[in-house]
Amino acid sequence: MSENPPQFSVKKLWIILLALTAAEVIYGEIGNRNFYEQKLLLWGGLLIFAYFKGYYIFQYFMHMKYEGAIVKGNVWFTIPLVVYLMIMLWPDTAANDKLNYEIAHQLDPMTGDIATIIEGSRNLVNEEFRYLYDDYAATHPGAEIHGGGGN
Amino acid sequence: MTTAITSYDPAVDAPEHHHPVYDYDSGPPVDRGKFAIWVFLGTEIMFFTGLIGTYIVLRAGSPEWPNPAHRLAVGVTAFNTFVLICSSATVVAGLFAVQKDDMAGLRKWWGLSILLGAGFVGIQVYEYIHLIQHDMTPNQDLFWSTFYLMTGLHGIHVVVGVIWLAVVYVQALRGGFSSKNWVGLELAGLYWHFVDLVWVLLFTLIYLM
Repeated sequence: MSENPPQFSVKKLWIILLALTAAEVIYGEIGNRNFYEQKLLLWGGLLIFAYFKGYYIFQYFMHMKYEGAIVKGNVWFTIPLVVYLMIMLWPDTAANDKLNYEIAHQLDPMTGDIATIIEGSRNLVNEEFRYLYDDYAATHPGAEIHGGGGN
Repeated sequence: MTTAITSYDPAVDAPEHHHPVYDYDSGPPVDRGKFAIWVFLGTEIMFFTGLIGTYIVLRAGSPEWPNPAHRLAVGVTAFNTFVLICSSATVVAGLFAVQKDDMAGLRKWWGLSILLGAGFVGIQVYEYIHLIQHDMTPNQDLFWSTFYLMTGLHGIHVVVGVIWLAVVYVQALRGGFSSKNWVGLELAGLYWHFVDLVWVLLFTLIYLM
């Protein structure tokens, strides 16, 4: 036996979601071409579109709007955990320069030095790690090695 | 002897120390399956939160991050997003149909949902093949490793969802659902909508931002 939830217009919601998706893609395309560096404007606008799409799917398609306290409690229970995770991760995002090793930097296991990785794990810009490429080239004859400081 | 057993009524014949017989359900006032799927979806929310949170940290901490529009076919994936949203709508249409005892409508909408879900997976596989053929593999840089990690794990969820929808569809063909019994459809639908919801976020984060 099941209880019938209140019904809503699937067609109307479908059109709203498709319109939001189309608007989001157009906004993203325009933004990436014209104001890619203005992150607040670009990301903020995109996240607003994503929020409303998620809201409609969650509230209507998953009919959370019509559920009772027990089902709602199951979901809202995760919110403090999400907030906790964000707080724990926040220093890594906001204060990257204050970390012992910045993200996207690699600790060389042999020397203990730090190398900056710009494009790809093999593309180390620090010349001190040149020997790593040399070792690799010696053991892999014919292999194409990218980056490494331009030698 | 047989007669004596079948005529036994615990409410009348049980000794005084026998446990009382309750005539009400002592569980929470919500369907067991629905309760369980929402607990499961709660864990899934945490799973994807960890994944997305880590992605944001890695991205925000990287000295450079490529413009996704220069690396990915946004138009193709926008179409794939359209496909997934359509499949969510058809799942709801199928659920509404069975609630009205419209079994033909259920079969039509649910079958369409499976096809759309499989189509989403197919387009994603096509995208992967195209990228890998152009040496855009997970070991290239942080952009590609996070891209494959998140879209791959979501893709696995979609595959599981398509299988679940197909199993429920077979049950529907065998007459397993009616306007009085459709919880099995609802549970599969909830999972499917969740997969859709996660994709809405991933599409924005990975392809557009």
